[in-house]
Amino acid sequence: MGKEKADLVLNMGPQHPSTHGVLRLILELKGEKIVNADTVIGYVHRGVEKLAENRKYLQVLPVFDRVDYVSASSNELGFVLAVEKLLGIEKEVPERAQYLRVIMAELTRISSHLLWLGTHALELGAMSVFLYAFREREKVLDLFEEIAGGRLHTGYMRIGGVACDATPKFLEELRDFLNFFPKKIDEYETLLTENRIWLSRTKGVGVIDKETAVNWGITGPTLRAAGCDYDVRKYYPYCVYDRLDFEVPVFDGGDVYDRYRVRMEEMRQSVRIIEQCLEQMPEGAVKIDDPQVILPPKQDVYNTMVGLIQHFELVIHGIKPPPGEVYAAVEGPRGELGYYIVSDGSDKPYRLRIRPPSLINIAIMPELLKGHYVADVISIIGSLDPLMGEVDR
Amino acid sequence: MKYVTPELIEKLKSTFPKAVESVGEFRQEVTVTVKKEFLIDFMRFLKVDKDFQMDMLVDLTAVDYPERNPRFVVVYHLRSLSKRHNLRVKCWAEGEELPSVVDIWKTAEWTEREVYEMFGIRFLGRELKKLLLPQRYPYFPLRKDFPLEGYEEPCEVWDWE
Repeated sequence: MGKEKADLVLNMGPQHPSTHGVLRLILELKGEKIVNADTVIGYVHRGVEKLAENRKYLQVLPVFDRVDYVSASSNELGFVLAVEKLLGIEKEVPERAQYLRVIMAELTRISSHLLWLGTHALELGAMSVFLYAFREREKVLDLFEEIAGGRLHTGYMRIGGVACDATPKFLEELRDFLNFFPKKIDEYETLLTENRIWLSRTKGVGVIDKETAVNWGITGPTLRAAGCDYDVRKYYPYCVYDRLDFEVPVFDGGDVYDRYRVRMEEMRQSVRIIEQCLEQMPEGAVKIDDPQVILPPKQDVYNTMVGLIQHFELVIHGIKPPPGEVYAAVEGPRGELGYYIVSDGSDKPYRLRIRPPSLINIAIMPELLKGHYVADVISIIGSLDPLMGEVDR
Repeated sequence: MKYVTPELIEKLKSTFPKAVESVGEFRQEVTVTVKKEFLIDFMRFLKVDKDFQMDMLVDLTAVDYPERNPRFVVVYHLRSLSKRHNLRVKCWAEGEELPSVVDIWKTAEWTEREVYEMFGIRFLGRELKKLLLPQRYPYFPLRKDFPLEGYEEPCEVWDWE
């Protein structure tokens, strides 16, 4: 598109309810059409990568809860997988822990997609969906609270396992949730999928074709809505995803509507994955048996000399992976969430880079917004589902 | 994660005998270090060659080694969605400058801006603005000599435009 002359510059955000946090857009308008757009980000930049370089491997985990603060478990999982790869112990992590990790990651995906669905529909004028989605999200957060103690910042993953085993109450409540939740997804769909207003706000809006999406490095639901079946869980299975039977929803419209359909279908697949996990999950330990990596149980620390020494050693000296570099990725709710760790053999990461899916997915936005109406800006931002905590880190 | 096979690495070495500085492997992850002057040709080859088809730049970042010269290494994570293999390419930024790969992969549009503001590496052949930090911010925070607590900035740094 050539340089059209704008007759109004509109500043949107950073404090705007439908920018999903603090995203600022400078829109140059001609009438109601956008001829040029610029994004300003960095309002919640906290220097997470710098912080990580100055903390021990054990201490750095809680920081990643706060990077993408609505899908904490996925963030933690990516990091622990990277450190385990660095240590070369990824095969030794007990199976039960692997299944619990998958359960948590998929519950996180559901909770994150529900938050997205509620706010996205609210922004486009469908108020009631917001109330329903948050009702179910509350149940997921209750499940998190039951297993991990925290509702948003779960802090459940550990290098070499998970923090604790699932309680019987958790498993019972999880089964209840899996029974009623698919019906709720159908309910949301009756409100939106064939709703004429919804269709006219989302169909054909913000189209990204497959080639463009791949060239911009876009991953996650946005890429799958553009007709590419890339999903880390299928391409490079981690944990136990290679044993689970699930489908990756792919649509080829590439518009806001298809991104919505991908996410709805992903929630159904997440339910399927968790059901299979509950069936297949073996009994046994949830932590690796290696005092060099994981803290001993509190019982041993208080009552035995060996436990106390192990605890002391690990806290003071930390985990020391061999020098090297690894990249490990998980499929987070927003796309490929990767961790690139460079180790120099000390107890702190020499360099830790998070590949944030939100940042890379919204980089296309200035290009994408051109030629759209102002009203479509909100629907496009919503459909890309950026989380500003993760964009800025 | 699947990385490119040793045969393909041999092919790279024979196609670019002068460009490949070293090939490393750690935990089945393959890293190729290339010389700066061959970087763009090398990357273009990886993208279009039918054996590689690296159509996605997954990530672009840098690592600071203050005691070395050149000081910074820029790290490219490449992937082919059709072949399903990965490759990590490294290039030492001599003179703290590197040619930009934004014409090959658009992912570099923002990631190069981030590396520029965090490490001070200039990417040539493109417009460079800071991405997350204020435009007038004078330091490069991810350099190893930048303290964790930061410096106290004068107020005029914070440009609210």
